[in-house]
Amino acid sequence: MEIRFNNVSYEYKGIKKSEKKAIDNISLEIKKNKINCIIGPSGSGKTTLMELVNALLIPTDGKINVGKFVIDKNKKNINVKELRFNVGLIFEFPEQQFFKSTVKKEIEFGLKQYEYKLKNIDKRISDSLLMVGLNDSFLNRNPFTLSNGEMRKVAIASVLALNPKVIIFDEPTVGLDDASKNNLLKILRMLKTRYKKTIIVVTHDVDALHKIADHIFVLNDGKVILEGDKYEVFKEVDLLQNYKIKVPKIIEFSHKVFKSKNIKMGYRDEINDLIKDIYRHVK
Amino acid sequence: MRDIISIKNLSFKYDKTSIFDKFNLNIKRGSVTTILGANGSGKTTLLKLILGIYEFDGEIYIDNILLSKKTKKDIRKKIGVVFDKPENSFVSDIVIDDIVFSLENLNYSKEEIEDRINEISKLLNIDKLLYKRVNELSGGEKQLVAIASALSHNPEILIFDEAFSMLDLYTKEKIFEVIKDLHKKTNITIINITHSSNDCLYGDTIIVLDEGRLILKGDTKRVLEEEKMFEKLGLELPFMASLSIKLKYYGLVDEIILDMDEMVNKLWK
Repeated sequence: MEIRFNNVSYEYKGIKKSEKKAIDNISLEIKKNKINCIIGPSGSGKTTLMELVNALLIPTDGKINVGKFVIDKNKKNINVKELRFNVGLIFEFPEQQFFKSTVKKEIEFGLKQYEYKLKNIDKRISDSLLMVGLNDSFLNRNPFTLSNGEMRKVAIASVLALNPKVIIFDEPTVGLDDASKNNLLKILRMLKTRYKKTIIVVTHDVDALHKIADHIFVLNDGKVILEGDKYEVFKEVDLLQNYKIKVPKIIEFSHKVFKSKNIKMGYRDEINDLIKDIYRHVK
Repeated sequence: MRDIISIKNLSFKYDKTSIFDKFNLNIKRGSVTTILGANGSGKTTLLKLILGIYEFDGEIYIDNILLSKKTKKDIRKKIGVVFDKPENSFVSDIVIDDIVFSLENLNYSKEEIEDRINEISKLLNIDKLLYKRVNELSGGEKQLVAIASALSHNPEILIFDEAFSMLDLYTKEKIFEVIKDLHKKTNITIINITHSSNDCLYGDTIIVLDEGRLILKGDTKRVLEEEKMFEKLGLELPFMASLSIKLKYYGLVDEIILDMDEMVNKLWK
């Protein structure tokens, strides 16, 4: 599903800060079937951008193409319910919105909003649980007795059950321990490769992002200041630092060696490759 | 006594499941301790037990006072807690009102409140934030205000409960500097409860919990050498610890070095 922003601006009304546009004349294209990550300091417009894709907010200027849908000031053009059926949004701490007594009822709740479209609800529920690595034994469990990692997975499953083409995650790793976090990153990769989803992740967790991002947009003051794959983006250590964005530690290290010792280490993803480089230079 | 917290033979069950069984722990006065463990290891339950929220078997001493129904209120005054989502604990629109509110609740006089606010704002360098609206603050600023509120009643112990997990790396490092500085100036006992080893680089002792058991307690650098144990518990080592362990294996360094500049200068003398 194609997602394109054409000169999009968004201004919050009635707030003191509104002299500044939350999104300021952005044109960009979300890469299809890829993991797109959005980073930026707080207040840079990340969340606004995300909510525009899902038509939770309507641009004050410009237009957004999401597949066959056009989102612009003239919002009569879109069937919001159908759009959101195609574009799933998973909020920060989604498990805090649980209110049903079993996992099955929790996932069913979302599906029922679209019942007119759906058959085989039970199968959809089982399949979506399987996609996040949980089996049917979870169906009748009380979601509130699950571990943090499991709760997060159920929340994701409840969006996957609708089978959206695009899934937006807001800070998906927050509050998870390292094991659950790595598990979640695996799920994101699988949604992309096996299920061909387009993924948009808004995050401040640069180490997680470094492991999964195909394309990164860096936002500041409502504008895209940098965009590209992780190599293109994270080589700009000093520029990012100016915008109060830290690069992953492994890159910070190579950069430090270059800055203080004038030794070029190259871009390393894996700590073992970095060690080989260090060994070669030091010995 | 040198220990500000002393836990003896603590046993606690939640819904018939035993969380702690004859658990013992001592925390030194004026120390900075990280309690590390995966989700479900018992970290937050331990905090609730220390705050007197649950009943339990065994003994918990805070500043030499045995925790009981009678002493709970006094003990609570010795502890300040900062949580992961500071906005949940704000009660007023304006920053300063929020701090005043907690002091008024403790029956401080007007003069005392003024003095205390001056003191804290100097300590944390937040005088510019005092008259701002809470919803205008950035994530890092909110966390600073939460720290200010937690310090308002001058506690002996300051506890952070996953307080840094919401912050980006840049903000997190800035807040760590503020906390380090606070510790240097006041020598307050600091306990940092977290599931991320990246949040424990700062501190002199690490305590590792797993399923209500104390797996390891020791000096930060010593604990970070336990690569196998971290792996077993599903915890990741901080980047600098992993790097040190591997470089040590190749004989390029001889200890864990957590400071990046120090490491670079050691490798390229």
